[in-house]
Amino acid sequence: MAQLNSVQLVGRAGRDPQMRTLESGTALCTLTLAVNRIRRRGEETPPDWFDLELRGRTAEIAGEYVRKGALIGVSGALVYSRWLDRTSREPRERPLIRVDRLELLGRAAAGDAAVDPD
Amino acid sequence: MNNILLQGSLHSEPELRYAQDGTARLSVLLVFPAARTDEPDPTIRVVLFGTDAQQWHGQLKQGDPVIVEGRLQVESRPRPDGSRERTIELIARQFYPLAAGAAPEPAPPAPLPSARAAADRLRRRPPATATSRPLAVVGADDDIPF
Repeated sequence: MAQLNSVQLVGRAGRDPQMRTLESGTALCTLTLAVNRIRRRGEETPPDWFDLELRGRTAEIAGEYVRKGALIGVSGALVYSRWLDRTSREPRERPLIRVDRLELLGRAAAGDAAVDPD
Repeated sequence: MNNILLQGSLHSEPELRYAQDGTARLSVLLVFPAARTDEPDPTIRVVLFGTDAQQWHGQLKQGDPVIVEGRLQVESRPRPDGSRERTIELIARQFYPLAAGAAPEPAPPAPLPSARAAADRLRRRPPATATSRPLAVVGADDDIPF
């Protein structure tokens, strides 16, 4: 049953997109996104970093046009990627945004390139 | 911009705490459907601050179906092994409680012949969608009844 799970983010790409092709032939693109928080006066807050996953034609467009520092808008759903840690065999999970719509909003501004903390 | 609308049900009893500066903070876990049916449903911590936190405390309980509107905030916590785990919290702006037991309502009894004309008139009005009913708390006066 489809339930409401709708995310909209606008921010800057933290790095160039990483492209892969799934066994089915579908393009898969992963990207990090820095989203600024609304600043209160005199308060410096770091941005929130999100992992994005794009598939198919949207992934191809991202691979072609998005570069580190580019301003983009995305809409999609919050999902969790799950796996077992290789050494500890502990279950791990990582939240990511599965993007189904991508808007290219602008190129990297000089001196304003986002820096990925990872 | 950072917006999320997420539908799920409350996975824990909401907890109300106060920070040292007196700010109220309501915290509750929300469970929502996994993207894949073979995976367990994920949970996310939902946090609401300020007077809204006090107002909602006592109106929500574990198991309640809700839609939460807010923004996503990434928290980084150390793991026991020294690495860091990134988790996401949902900083809520608003809760939209869904009617308890969102299962379809039983069909109304068949109208008596004398009531049929009135029922036909009623039927011509656009039917209320399934989602408009639970959300009626927010915009109850939006539908003009003529």
